Amino acid sequence: MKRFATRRSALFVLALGLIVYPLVVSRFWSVTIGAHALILGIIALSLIFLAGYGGMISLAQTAIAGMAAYAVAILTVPRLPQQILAIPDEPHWPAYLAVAAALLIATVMGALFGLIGVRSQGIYLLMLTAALGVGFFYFAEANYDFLGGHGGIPEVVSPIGYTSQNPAVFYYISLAAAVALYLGVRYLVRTPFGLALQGIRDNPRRMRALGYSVGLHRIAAFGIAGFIAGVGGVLTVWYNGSISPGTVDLTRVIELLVIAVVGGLIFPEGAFVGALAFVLVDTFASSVPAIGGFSFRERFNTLIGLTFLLVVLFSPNGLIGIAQDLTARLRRRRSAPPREPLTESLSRVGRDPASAHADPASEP
Amino acid sequence: MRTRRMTLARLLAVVFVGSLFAGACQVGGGGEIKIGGLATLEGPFAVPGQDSFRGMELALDEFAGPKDADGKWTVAGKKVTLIKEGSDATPDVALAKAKKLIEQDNVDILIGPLSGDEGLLAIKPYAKQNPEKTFLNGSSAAQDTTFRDPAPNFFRFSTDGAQWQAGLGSYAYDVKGYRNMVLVAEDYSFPYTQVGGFMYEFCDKGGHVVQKFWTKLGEKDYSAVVSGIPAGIDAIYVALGGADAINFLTQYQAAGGTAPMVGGSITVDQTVLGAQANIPEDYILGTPSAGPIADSNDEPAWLAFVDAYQKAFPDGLPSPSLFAHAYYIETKAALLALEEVNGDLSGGQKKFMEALSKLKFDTPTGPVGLDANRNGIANQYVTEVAKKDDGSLYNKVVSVTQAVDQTLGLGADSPYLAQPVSRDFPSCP
Amino acid sequence: MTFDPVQFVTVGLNGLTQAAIYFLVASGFTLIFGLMRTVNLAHGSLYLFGAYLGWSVGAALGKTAEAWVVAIVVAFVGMALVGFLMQRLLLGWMAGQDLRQALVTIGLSIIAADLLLMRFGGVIYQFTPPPFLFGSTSIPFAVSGQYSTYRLFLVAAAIVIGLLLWLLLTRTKLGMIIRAGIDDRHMLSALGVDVPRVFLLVFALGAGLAGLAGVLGGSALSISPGEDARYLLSSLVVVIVGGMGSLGGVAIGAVIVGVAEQYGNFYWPYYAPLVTFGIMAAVLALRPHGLRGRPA
Repeated sequence: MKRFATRRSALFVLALGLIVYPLVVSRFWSVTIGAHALILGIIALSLIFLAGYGGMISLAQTAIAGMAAYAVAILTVPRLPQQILAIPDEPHWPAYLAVAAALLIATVMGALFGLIGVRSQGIYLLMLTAALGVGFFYFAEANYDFLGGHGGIPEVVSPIGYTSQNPAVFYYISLAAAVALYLGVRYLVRTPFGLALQGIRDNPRRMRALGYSVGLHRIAAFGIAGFIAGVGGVLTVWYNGSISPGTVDLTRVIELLVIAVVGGLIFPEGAFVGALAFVLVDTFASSVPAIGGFSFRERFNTLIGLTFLLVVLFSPNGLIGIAQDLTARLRRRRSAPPREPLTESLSRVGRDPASAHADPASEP
Repeated sequence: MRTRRMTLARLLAVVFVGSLFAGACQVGGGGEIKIGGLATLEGPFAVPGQDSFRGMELALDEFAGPKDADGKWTVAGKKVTLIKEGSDATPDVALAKAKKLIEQDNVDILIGPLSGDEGLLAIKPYAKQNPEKTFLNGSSAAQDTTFRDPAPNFFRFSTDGAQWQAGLGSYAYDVKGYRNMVLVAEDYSFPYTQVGGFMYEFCDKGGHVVQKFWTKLGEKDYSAVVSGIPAGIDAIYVALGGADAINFLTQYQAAGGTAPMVGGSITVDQTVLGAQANIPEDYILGTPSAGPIADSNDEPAWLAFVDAYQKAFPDGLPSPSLFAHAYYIETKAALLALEEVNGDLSGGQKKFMEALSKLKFDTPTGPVGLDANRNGIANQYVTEVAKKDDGSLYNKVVSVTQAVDQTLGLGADSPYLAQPVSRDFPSCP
Repeated sequence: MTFDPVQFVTVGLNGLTQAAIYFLVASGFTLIFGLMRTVNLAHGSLYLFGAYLGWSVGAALGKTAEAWVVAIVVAFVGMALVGFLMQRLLLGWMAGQDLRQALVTIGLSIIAADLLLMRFGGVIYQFTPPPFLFGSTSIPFAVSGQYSTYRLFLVAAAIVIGLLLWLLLTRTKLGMIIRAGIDDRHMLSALGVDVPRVFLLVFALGAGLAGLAGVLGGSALSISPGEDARYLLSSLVVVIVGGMGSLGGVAIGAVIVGVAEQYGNFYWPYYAPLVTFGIMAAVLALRPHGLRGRPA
């Protein structure tokens, strides 16, 4: 009972903090830290959904978010850059229609990528989605007919104007989207579909024997992840006020993976914790004074890479995993058996179904 | 499961409280002027980017120096700090860094960016969203950054890429006798502008540009271009940046190409001639080019500038590049205007911006002033690549075009300026 | 643009040149994956690191023709050593945990890219191959009747190295062990082979090939940051198309991808990446393990 009350009050404090946040901090902190972390968290959520509940690591989520971003940009921008050759007049669609179209495109492309990779497992799927994801980057760079090539599409105005001019409103929109999608994922994984998906993650052969269509479930999961990433993409183009290939390049793909892994690859919360941590480190790294000529501001990537490496080597469940261990130790109470790190369970999927572990903690 | 959510709640609560504190700790220093410098330190413009910061520091040392113990300069009795950020020639990163400088570091004045797309697609829209801060250009030279729909708080003293080519088109036609050319240039706003400047004159004289090859910025493999260059042309107009230029030249030579070249402003500048590469020397000697500076300029102001640069930066380039020059001029303009208004940046910096728009001053390359779009009017040089006695290559002045404005003297109604520069415009096949 | 048969031939040659570099890089990648199921996502970093190392050595020795040859050797040996250390100190301890290994290599590649940027900067570096390789050779059907001599050399070098690898795999005991391991790893250890040692050798070989490719490829196309991402991606595509663990597959995949890329860039520049990825998707649809690959 006491524990229940404490948990309730902690959540209450958190919710209060999130809601009050933009009213007490500067514009920079609401938008460039707060909203930005929420948006990255949404895209990371799509990756974690696929990885944690579907057993599929997709490095193409950044690209799918980018597709939604480009769609919104092309459909709503007041003036197309002169590099775009194949669109004679700006479509000038209303925002709600453009967003719907963008989300549709993201979902369909997600499902398509899922289809391409449906017969691939584990590491092979990771390679494949990496190739597809970065391939989209090269396509965006090369294509001048629709996507504006290297320069992309600037001056994209959101329905509320430039988002940096309306920090609180944009923050709340991002927060609402993040909360809705997070709760949506938590709900989805308890439905029959969600449970089937997790069954497929753990033992596809058995599920197939039980009559489930493994391929369709996977494709559907990719579609859902595509939708989530699409929401992130729409918010991204509004956040930036523009879209260009740089938003979907290999650096960003890897950044997303780092966020997901550092946060905790199998926990949906990890998406947001990882995103916040990343954004904070990104911001503060430049303020850390150089140590012996080694400037963190400039060597930010080395810092990220080291953190990532350390997490993978010593705490594959990321920050949430660390927090879990600490809490369990502090309470000196043994909680439910710790979930096997995803990295190890994934290695066994698709190789020898007979030895795939039976995970007692099947409830997420 | 409950454990985990509880942990999560605590974790997030801690992090948020932490950020609140950190956010609340944003204290703005009173009476101090912060200047943000933005240049590319990664990607194909890494070397020019380093030179840009050298130009800024040169100007600061000269007009606001010397530095005090904290590394700050002084102008109009106020301390000046410089905060540098590096971009990579993409609008994305330029925007992110500009946001950081303006919103997180609270700079008053932003000087940058280096490359055309960053200026046109990122900084110009961002400047419009921040009307109370002053944005001065770095060396970005896309035409439309100021020519069409300019931002009222964006000032470009360093002139655009078309202005940089003033005199070259005529030189190629009249003196070199070229009639049919092809062009190779990167596919973004700055080369469009350079090509425009060249073609305004060349086409007007009756020359023909029979084919245009637009390549990716940072392209390594020019085999497609080299294979596609038709036979029987008189010369190639090459408006590629330093690194790309080196690649193209080597591959063109290796494939047996012989047509001579006409260079854009950053194709045969010091960052290329001074580079550690195998430039085929006999090919490159005599290449005409044009730009806002010339290595062999013998004006005393220029020589003093070169001297100051070489003394301050012994491991810099042999001679300052146009990037150092541009950032130097912009920084100098900011400092002069600050002097004039006594460092008064209150009231949305209105007085400061007005002082800037009326500013006329002397630079190492002659006098500079602004037009109605706050774009610079300055001298431009036509050059040819020559060899010094010590064997090093440099750009020798052939002619100087005085006080070139953004229309290159054609007037705003000229049909050549009717459309924005792009891959297809202007055109004279 | 109007179709010009001479240009068509030249673009095809360009494609073969590209294929040669892709083959050299991807051959190491596929050996490592085929035998150890390790996706070495730091492979592109090995290419770039080897190239920079070779350049530094060549420059230190005065950029002569001999220096260039030494650069190639140093790049190969140096990267082989790096690969050996990677496998010995990190990856070897995670045998069987493919995903974790892949993530570790990603982490290494991030760090490597940044440290290389710190050391060598964002500038472009060019190599100085021996003068007799520089310039152009007469080729009957190419544009202006000439084609870059070095690129022809590159194609020849790739063929020679490919043959050597093939001989290694089919005619030596080590090669037999490797091929057996690609087919069935567990059986290999049951037969008493020192599997960890073989893994070390193969990883070193694969890494060395990447370094070697770095100098050879860099001499044609110069090197700068970003090449690591480019060659990693192309290795992925080539191996997905050609099939894991198969040298012949890599050769076929490299030719398909290299040539398709060049033709795409020349005739359909705005959509060229779609050609490459369309091929990849088509191959996956028909043969999920690549053209010459086998199920895991």
